[in-house]
Amino acid sequence: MAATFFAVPLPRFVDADEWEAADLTGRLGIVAHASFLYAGFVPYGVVPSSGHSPAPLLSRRYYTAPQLVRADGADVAVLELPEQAIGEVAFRTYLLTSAGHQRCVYQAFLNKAYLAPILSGGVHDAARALETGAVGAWLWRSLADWACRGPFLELCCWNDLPVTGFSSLPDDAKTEILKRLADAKDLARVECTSSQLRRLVAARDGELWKAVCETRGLLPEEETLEVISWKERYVSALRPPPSRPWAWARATTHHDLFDSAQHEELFVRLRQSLQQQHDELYATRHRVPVVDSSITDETLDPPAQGVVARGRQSGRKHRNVPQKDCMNKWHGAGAIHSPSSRYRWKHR
Amino acid sequence: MASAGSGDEKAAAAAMITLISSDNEKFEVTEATATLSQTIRHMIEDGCTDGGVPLPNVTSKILARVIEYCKKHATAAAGEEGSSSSFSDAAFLEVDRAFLEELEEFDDAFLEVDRATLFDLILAANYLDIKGLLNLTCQKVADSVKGKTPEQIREMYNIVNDLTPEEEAEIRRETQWAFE
Repeated sequence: MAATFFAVPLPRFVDADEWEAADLTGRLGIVAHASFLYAGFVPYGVVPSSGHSPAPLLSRRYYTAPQLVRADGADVAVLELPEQAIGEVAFRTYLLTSAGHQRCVYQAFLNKAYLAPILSGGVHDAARALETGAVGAWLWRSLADWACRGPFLELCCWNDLPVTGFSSLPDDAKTEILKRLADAKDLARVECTSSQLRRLVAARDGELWKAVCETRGLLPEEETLEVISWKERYVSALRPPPSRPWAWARATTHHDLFDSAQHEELFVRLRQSLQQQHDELYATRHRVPVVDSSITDETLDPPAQGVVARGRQSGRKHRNVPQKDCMNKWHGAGAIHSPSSRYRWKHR
Repeated sequence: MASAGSGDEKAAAAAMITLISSDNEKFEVTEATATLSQTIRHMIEDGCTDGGVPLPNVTSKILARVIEYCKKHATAAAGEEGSSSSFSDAAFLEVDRAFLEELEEFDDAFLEVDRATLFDLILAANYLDIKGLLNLTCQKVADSVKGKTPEQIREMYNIVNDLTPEEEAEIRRETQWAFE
């Protein structure tokens, strides 16, 4: 069953165990972290030496633009959770330049009594409260739109990065674009471009690959208990099912089919099966007795009704063929050409 | 009663909303134009638009383009509603087709922008929740990706390849079917 989709991407950035283990301040930090990623930032591992804060801190994290993530001493955005008096929690965000200057400082002090109903439930409850609740929606908008997105644009401007490009779009906007790709191959190729996009497509599997599967009618059977992603469902549908050797045989070239020694046993069964089917098909459609291809024309019985001997006009020996069957795929009169007889040279 | 209702409608149509861009420029728009944005519609419903609607993520340059789009589509929608009551079915279909053609032409011309502006429009449409504009702009980007290789997509949209060679090789193996 596909996971419920939340516009507030909290469940995508934190697992339930981590959420359960955190206290109220820790959960606020997780929400703030999610809002940084949502705004287009990526975590930045190196702690700048100038990142000093006068207040005692419970936690501090660094973020930067995707283009700067491998640069040493890059300009960063900082998320801090300062220690507060009882009954209050706070968060502080700002940009920290490589020269040590703080810009775009945003600080909020929150009453625990108001915050607790939003964040005290499970991670999905919190995502719902941040999306639809009056206080929750205000908190999320304050974080995502004011505290994070503005600094992100600012940081891009300082570093002469394209202010808005594909990478800097929030995940929702990227998803809206990816939803509109016409071909599953395009989606797969976009996934190959960067780890960020790979993670995004995997996280939005229920939106992106599900839509692809639905377009192709690849819906799970109700009794299926196996839980696989929609992408896996699509990819597995590209492979011919093993229970249908006919389809597999058609999708495989004769060269592959007969050169693969390890499938010899299957080939024997397949040849028998093909021979039987062709015999039945031919006998049913044309009411012609099945004969061995080694029998020469001279040994054949006089033509049955509806069969003419075409070779007589040229004076050469020809086998009899059905009168109205010259346009059909199987031209042989009586002789059935199984794959083994057609490709006899392959089996010497 | 009819005249009172009509007067109310005119008053509603004439109600103006002030939108304030990130660089503090103010734009006066009709409520009909502004409510193409679901975000602003909710703010109007909640009575939060007194003193203007600050849009900290949208610059004046982009907001002007967004308003241009909303005005056109709001006018078209109003024209379509009006025409349905005053034309016969055949005439209505004709007018409807004319509206659609005009809108399509407008949309095509609207998308003739540079790539940075296109992404800014996507960002604004996403933030303001304007479904038509979001669809239009996202489809333009999606169409441009069609048939491109990962390298071409990276180059086109300045996507940094942060995959290690080993990761990239593994992904290529997994998605070989997409390159055939």
